[in-house]
Amino acid sequence: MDKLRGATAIVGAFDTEVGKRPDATSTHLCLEAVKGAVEDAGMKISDVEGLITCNSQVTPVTYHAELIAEALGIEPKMCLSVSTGGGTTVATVAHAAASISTGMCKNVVIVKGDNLATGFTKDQALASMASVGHPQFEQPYGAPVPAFYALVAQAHMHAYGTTSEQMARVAVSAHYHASLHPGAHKREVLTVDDVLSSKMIADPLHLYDCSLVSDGGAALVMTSSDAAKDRPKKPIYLLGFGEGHRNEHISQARSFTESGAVESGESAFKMSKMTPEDVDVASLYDCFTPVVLIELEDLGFCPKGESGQFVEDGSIDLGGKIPVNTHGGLLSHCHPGNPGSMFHVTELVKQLRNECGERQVKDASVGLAHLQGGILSSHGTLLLGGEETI
Amino acid sequence: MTSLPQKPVPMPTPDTKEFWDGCSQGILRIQKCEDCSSHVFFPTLVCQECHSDRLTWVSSSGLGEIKTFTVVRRAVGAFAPDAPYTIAIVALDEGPQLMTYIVDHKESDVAIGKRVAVAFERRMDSYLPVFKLV
Ligand SMILES: [Zn+2]
Repeated sequence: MDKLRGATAIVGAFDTEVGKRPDATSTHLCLEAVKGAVEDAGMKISDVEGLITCNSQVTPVTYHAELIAEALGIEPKMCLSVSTGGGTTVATVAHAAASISTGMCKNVVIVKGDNLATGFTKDQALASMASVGHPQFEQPYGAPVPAFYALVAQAHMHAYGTTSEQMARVAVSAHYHASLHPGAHKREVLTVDDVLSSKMIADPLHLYDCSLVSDGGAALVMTSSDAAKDRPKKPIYLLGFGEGHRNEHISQARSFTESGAVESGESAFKMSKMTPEDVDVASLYDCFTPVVLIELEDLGFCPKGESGQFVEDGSIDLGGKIPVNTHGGLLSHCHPGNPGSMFHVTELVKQLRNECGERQVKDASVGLAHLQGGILSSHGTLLLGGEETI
Repeated sequence: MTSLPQKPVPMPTPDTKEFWDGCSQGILRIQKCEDCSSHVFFPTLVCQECHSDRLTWVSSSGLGEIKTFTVVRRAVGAFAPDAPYTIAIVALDEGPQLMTYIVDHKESDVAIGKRVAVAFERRMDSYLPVFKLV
């Protein structure tokens, strides 16, 4: 793994317009993202050697990466469709790094896009929600997705005295950041009271503790560190990654207050030779507000049980100790399903390139993304940095 | 064309048939490892502690405690009319955890750590394990 530290870099990153995109199918969003990212990297679509995608939920197909390649008019050396939900983005970056470093391909484009907001029929949306959980041992109890995370929130409150106000503070921070992002799906600022007075979905989670449903796509271009030096934009190097997989079903979790982010973070920090104190800006998976709290603790940004106070103190806001989700995250920037976590990484790339304007973290040099799929199931952590960090 | 949503019923597989047959008879059955004596649930082929494949079916005491819970206020599809209802993760005294309903309770009486006992609730031709406060 040490061999992969700094061996590859992200040289292109692009977000499509997000929010409601009735003009675009999921495939269209993927193509738009690839085109943008390849241009950002100063390359041509015909240069692409490896293509990694994630299946669409709205229009699932059997060979997704091949479908995108066909639509792009390319014949890649490697096509791979990966499925670890929101965690897919970390898995794909890690596999891209391995493929480039072993010489399987000179470059890899990672693309994900979907149109959950406008593409789903009502029946499809219901069926998709009902398909979460074990078909025999969980689904018959009719837990809507927020209820799965409410179980986690309740356990954290019970164990550590975390409050609804503190969870709401995560949403307030995300919405504030999104208000500074011209492309965000929701740009209205929120107060803690707004969150607490929104309707209760599943105790203790209110509507604004839940993320959005959006359309959107994003893509990354990766290549070797040597090749990266010839690209027009500042290369953002992959310093480390790690994964953690404790369970698939929430009912089988060995802890409801600690997740596979512990193992995932440890591996990524070890490989990158970094510590939480070295991180200037973080992107943490935020499908629901309590998830951010658990990640802050499990990754070592604050001690176990103290994340509530940590966010209440403004630590995750721009200008705070560790600004989190400066684009607004899934809570306020956009959440088009599995592709949602791509924006956590494209945002880090923009931060580390100093391209974020009003929401720029000053002198950002090391970025961390922690992304998860399922119900706290599949965890992945990435550490990225500029040349000075290698 | 919108079809009326129906609540899902468990569709037993060869691996889970013993469990669901037990539920129909009012018995909560789980697997036990003959090598390390661990109890196992969901039904599986290997013990999750020692990875032995010598698993046998036993009756659980049906007693346990609430690990965590939530009250669903906004449900979807066929469950919408049922809200509010309480979903919990219960840890059986034998060790394994399961998702379930807490039934027949005052909302304010449910808490993490409370003791519960199994009961069975009919849905179509199936019986789902649910729990009551004891
Ligand atoms: Zn065993």
